Amino acid sequence: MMLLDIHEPGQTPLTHEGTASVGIDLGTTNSLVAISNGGLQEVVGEDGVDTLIPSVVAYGEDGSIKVGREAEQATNAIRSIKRLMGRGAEDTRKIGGMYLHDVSGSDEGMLSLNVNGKSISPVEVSSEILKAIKHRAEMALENKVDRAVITVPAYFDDAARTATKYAAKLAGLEVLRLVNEPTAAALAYGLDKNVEGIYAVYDLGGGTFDMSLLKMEKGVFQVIATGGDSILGGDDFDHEIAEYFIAKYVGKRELNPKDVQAILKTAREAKEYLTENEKGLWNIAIGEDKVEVELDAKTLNKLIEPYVKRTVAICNSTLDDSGVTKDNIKGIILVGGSTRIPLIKKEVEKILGQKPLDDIDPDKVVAIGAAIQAEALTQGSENLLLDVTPLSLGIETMGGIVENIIPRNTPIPAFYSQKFTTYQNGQTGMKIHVLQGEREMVDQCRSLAEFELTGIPPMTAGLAVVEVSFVIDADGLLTVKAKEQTTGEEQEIAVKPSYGLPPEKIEKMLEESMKNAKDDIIRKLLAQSRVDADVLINTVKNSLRDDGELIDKEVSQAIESQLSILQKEMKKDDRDTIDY
Amino acid sequence: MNYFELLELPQSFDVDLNELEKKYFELQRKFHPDREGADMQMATTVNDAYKVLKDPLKRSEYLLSLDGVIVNDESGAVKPDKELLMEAMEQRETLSEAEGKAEIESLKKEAQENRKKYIDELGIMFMNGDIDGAAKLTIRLKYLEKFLQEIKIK
Repeated sequence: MMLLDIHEPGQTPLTHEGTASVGIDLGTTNSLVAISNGGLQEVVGEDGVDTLIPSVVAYGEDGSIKVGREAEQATNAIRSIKRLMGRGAEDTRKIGGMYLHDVSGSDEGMLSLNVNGKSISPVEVSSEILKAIKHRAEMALENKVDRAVITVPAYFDDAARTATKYAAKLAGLEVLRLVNEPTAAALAYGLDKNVEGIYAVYDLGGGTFDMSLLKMEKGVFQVIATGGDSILGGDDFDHEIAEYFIAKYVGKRELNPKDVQAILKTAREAKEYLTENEKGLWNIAIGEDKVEVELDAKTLNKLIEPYVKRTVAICNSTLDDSGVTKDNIKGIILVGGSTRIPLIKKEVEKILGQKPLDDIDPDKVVAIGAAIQAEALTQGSENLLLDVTPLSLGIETMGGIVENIIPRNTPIPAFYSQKFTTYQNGQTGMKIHVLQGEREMVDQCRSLAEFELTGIPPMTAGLAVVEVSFVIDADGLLTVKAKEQTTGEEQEIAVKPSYGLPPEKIEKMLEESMKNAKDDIIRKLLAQSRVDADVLINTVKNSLRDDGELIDKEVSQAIESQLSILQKEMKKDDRDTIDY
Repeated sequence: MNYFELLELPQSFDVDLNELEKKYFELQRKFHPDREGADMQMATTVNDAYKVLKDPLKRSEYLLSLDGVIVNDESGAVKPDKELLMEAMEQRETLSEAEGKAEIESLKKEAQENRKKYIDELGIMFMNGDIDGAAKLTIRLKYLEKFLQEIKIK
């Protein structure tokens, strides 16, 4: 068991510059924040107990925003927003014939949620969770927290990574690095135990599945290969169970969104209960009725089996990709709450040929690893992490075929450049379409950017040469540059993200949030002034009552009239007059 | 920049993979964006060099390119001969007609054995300075790798 160093609140040593850097596991179902100091890690809890923050946000009709436990009770709470990061409207799921969120696409093809008549993007929802995490960390550490390592599923594509970075920016956090969740988990195990050799990380979270192979050697953590599915996770189990309950017990009753949430909640409870029990009974209130539902472990296994089989297939293909055989694997690390399910433990043991390690809590291991990396990046460290691209990058060629230019599992940072030429006489523009994914056709891959290169000097076909370069940085994020070679001039290109928020919108949202923050401060100060004035009025009144006979009647009347002016001013909103 | 020089390895088809990895880690410790002496350009180049030198096919293509022989992509000067194209077509046909796991497995095994054979032969050719032979065999290896990919998808 890893030793966690627990400090008294306020006694945690400060990091440099008086601000702290934390590791954040921004999960689909729950989020966690941890800090590492002098090589010791601590998961930041509330009052030292409640460490998991449910990734749930509730927007009240009065404009209030609740996050975490207190949001869970709200009827229209937004859950599992991580699934929608960087996605289009077509990616959302239905349950009981109903969408989980009231969603719509917008002009940029990105998705937004309809909340109380307002349209809210997944980036904004996610930033609320990050704000709550930041706040919690600042309370516990009694220190400003402005930098973080945030973990993302290895299989997050460019759009989802960019969206996560934007969410952090909106929450006032500088992202030191986006680290892949399985890598963070391996960091947590590796540093503690000084392990060497190849390790497999099986990471089944709420919304995503990742399988990674890491080589750990003398302080270098090298990701050899990674594979996964960005829409496969514990949430799917809940949905299957819920659909089973609806089909078997609910019958023809009409369901509203509140009922669906209640059924899902019971499904989750049932799943967790059956980790250690053979069967159970639950009651769900649907409208006027109370519906009794039953589930046993055998049925549960049957419901989730197709998903578990998919993870097994991904494990096999990742092994195949890397040329690593299961005899080379020294250990298996389990990550994510869903790995507690006995069927999954059994299957993992079967495919990888050994009992998995689970001595660090699978819910906490990612946050701990992120904290370690945050410390390494701010304080310097002997350890080095070498990561790879999870998905292939390609460009569209004739006939809607994707030409792979940076294959998956390429070490990052990575660079690729290719020369393009015109195919028509006098052609001055060129369209370049960048895609991410493993499939061959454009419509089977995710479109990342589509831009038009303009201003190519008109020439005979095939004479103009445009060099387009693709750079993937250490966060796994892509930038594209283009240069026309005959004129030698670097071309301005506008990369229009097909998903996620365009940078201008982020700037605008940042501005608004700054303004809101200012309003918040003014409101707070106004309240403080009112309190001060109240105290003053009471003190003066008391003095007048007790010792009034000691002063002139004229003076006491003047004081009384001043007091009534102050009382009037207090009802208005101008702080300066009150203070005066 | 010559990738062999960058990774301080002798310019040869036979690469000591352990030594390659050691040098690679050493250089990344120096240049990786997470390190104090971060140099994004160098870190990227080192990654590319490692990728090229680690893989026999890419290494062979790279060695040939140092000799001015381009076998990479369609614009390359050295083209596959008719015999190879016919063979590749037949192979693909056999694969598309193959039924059942056992049949595909045996195709895979055969291809993997050929791959190993080609790599051994390439080593000897480079050692003897047989650039033409190496170029031809490299194209052959390239087709074989593609075929192995197809087997995997199936």
